[in-house]
Amino acid sequence: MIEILNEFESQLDQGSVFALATVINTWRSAPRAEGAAMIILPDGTMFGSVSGGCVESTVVKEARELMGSGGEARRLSFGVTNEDAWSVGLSCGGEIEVWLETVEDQKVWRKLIELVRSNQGCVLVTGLEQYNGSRAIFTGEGLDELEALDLAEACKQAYIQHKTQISEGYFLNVFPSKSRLVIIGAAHVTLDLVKLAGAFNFETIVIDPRGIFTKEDRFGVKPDQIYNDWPAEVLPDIKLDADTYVVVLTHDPKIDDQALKIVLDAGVAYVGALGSKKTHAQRTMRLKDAGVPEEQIEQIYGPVGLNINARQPAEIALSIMAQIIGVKNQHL
Amino acid sequence: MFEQYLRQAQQLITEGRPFVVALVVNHVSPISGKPGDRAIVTDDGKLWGWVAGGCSQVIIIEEAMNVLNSGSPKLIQITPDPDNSNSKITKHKMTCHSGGTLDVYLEPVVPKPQIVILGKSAVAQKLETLGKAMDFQVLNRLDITRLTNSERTYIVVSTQGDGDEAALEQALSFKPVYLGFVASHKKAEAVKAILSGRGIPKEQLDTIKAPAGLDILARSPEEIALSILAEMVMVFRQQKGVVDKPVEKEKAIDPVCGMQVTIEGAQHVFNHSSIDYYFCCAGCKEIFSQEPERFLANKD
Repeated sequence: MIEILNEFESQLDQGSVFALATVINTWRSAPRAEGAAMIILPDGTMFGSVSGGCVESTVVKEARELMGSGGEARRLSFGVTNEDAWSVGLSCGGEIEVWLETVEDQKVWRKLIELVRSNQGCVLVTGLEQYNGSRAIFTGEGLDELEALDLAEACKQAYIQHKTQISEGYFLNVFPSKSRLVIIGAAHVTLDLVKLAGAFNFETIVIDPRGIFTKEDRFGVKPDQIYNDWPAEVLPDIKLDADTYVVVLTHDPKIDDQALKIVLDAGVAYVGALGSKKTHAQRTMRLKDAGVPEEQIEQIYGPVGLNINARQPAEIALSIMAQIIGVKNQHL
Repeated sequence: MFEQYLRQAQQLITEGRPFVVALVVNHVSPISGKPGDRAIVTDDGKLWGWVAGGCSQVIIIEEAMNVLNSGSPKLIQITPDPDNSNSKITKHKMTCHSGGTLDVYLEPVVPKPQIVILGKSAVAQKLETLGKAMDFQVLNRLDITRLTNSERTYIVVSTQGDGDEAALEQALSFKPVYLGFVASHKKAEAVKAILSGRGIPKEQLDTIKAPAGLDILARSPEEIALSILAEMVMVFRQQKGVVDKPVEKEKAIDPVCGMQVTIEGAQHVFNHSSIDYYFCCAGCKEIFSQEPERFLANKD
């Protein structure tokens, strides 16, 4: 859904009635996961996809029928073994269910957009058949409209596990908030780390004053923000909170230490620093001499990453990501 | 020459064979090896390419085998006057007549793990995606029969109740260096009990890592996949001895220069008074053949 949010909003703004198709259930090797969505306009124009091309034409046909008749939201099933009305299927051998509904400009949609834009995690609850497509948003503080305790607990579990799923007749669509990963230094480990962190839904920010490293074309997966500047110039403008994770990877005390002093004082969730035990001992001495309180220095994970004898950049990135996830999960 | 070297290396990587890159990083004349000269030493002790003359080659091949064994790179020096007392470089005596010094960096290239994932669970899917992103070789489960080298074989069973026992039994038959089972402790114990009842010995069942993955409090399928990948890297990097420790081969002393020469397959042999003498190079053999008694007398 998140991938079509901009288009979704612009359709709401235009005041048009349109259809929304969302994957609510998958079995085996379905091409798109639960939560994948597509918008269908009355003229058949579509944005997004629910199957990567296999069943879209049928979904569009159904959607236009629904918009024309003003009928109720419905569940569509697709699969290779399905011998019912559907002549199309999934060549990959998977099965999917799609929830098809019409959308008008309602408060709940605006709220969803606002939450996602402001990086606040939430669960969009859709009551399926027996609940007539009713809607609510769970933000952690409780359900906005529905007040069933069981449902609130199910939403909480779905959110913690980041698992979009059907639960007791409700479709729970999870929109996790992004944590922030600030990486000081843009050498090889950083390239792999940015790629991994993206897969774990982190917003990535890379800072390196050494110009040659911050050229964007070096990155297979581009960071969300990249700064060719000193940490002391950039960090004051970045949110450094309990949802922020920082690694310093330049190997250069001039750059690393500058960043460490700032982030240690800011109370971020995690600070890791690249270098051997010996390097870290020297770093500890330098920071002490610079007046950084000892209890702050002790918070540094150094040498950075889980101790898995990582050698190559990709392995080091993996050890760091695993450590960050471990720390993050402690707080849940 | 350089392209040939690259092709050779690529070929070995494709075949999944371990090898060592020997690179000359420094030299003090007079010596034939120059910085940038490089060779590949394969796990059977063959050297391809050029790093130095015959006497040094023997040392380099031996050290290359050590490097394959330890899995760690090493810098060695071959010099006429080795002094190992205060140095991080392993020094060997240069026995050739040239009398120069050669620094050679030896780096092992160990085949990456081959990962096979049994099962179609969400964890299995994420593991495949992440594994590929990390440049691991993820094999299709149908390719499991192609696995030949158990040292490279990493199997993850994530069947989630759909044929757990059969998958584990199949996995165990490959004697993989890593076998992870995505399941709770309790579930794993129950499945192991069933396998034990089928006659699978305890020491085999003990090799199953369950729950699979390092403990990072993983919850989502992605996180579990990450914890398993990290565990596989750990096992991969702990693995030592990609080649069997080379058998100590019988050595002879070159009577001219005093260097050790492996008797098996020696190239420069000279028979004198019904005794075979072994030499590091044609030069030594030539000198010896002209005046054998001089060297034999010295020895006594």
